[in-house]
Amino acid sequence: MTGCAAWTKRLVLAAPEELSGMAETELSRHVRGCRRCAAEARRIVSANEALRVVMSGPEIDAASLIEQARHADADDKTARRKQWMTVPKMAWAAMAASVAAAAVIVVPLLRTPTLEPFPPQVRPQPLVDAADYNLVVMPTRNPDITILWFYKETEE
Amino acid sequence: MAVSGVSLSRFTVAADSKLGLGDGGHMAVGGRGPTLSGLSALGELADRARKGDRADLEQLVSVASPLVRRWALVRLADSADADDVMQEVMIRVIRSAENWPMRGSFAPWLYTVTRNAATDRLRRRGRQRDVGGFDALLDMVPAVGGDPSLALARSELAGLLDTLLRELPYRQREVFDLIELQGMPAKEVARLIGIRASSVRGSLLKARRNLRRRILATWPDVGEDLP
Repeated sequence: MTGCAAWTKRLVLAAPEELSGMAETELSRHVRGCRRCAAEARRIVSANEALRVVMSGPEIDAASLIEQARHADADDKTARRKQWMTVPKMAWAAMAASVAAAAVIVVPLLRTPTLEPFPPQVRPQPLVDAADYNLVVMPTRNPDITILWFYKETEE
Repeated sequence: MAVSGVSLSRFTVAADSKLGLGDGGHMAVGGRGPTLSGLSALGELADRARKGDRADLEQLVSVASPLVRRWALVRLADSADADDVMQEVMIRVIRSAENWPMRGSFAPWLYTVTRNAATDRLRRRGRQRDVGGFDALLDMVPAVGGDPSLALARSELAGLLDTLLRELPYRQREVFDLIELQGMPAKEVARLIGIRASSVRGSLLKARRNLRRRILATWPDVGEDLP
């Protein structure tokens, strides 16, 4: 009996084929020849088999799962559409107000005259070149816009 | 919310015949669980199902759902929560076929999606309630009756489940389930869960030691009932 205590410790870490006595290892050979250790090994194997079965869980109905996924897809699409269609009246009013405000801001910007530069060959001469005041006054192609260029001199 | 279903034997036969699953070894009990070829076949199935054929998709769902449920169960230690996570993950997977990774990466990807969903559930559950018991799991035992090797008393099995799912650290129970109960090679497990094979083996040894200590402690009089 005492001799088996050491084997029992080894049974704890044995692989399944060793426990079943099917392997060609020292432990497996002992299991084949020792009733006590064979009984220990059987109980370990039996417990593992019971766990294996219990852990496997119930049957799965694949078709039903696929249908659920399809319904979830359809529900999502409907929900997205409804979300848009069922915007409350207050929200519509707020959206309309936002669009109007945006129009007020954007339309004048669209009318703002462009500041296209002159092509090099028609670059105009400054209207005023007041070097004493570090100022150059330049015309643009738009007669409503004139550039006042205040510059700073550096020593080079 | 559990998903009702058809007979296990039908799934097993279908999976075995069409995919070459169940390549023997110590996976023979109940014919369940993934094998190395099973996980590879999962990727092949995903490649086929991606093309939109309903029968291929059904087959993929039949094979993948039990795996997902089990992975979730090992994480959550609650069968009702595992059912919910399985359903959530599978619906998400079915709806995102265009995002599935290619063959070899499908199983690790599915595993990660499941683990993340289970972790989310665990986080939410932590704020809501304690885990349930194992009654739903243990209720399955009579359904597989007739096999004398499974004639463990319900209380003993509950104790083992409790040790497996609650007392062992997550990594140990994850590795123990994949290798010892589902029969996957350590190398494949390492790839699936994204750690080194040596770490897998270390976790397995610790898990075996802890769980078998419990098993041996349950029957201390083993020598006395021998003739």
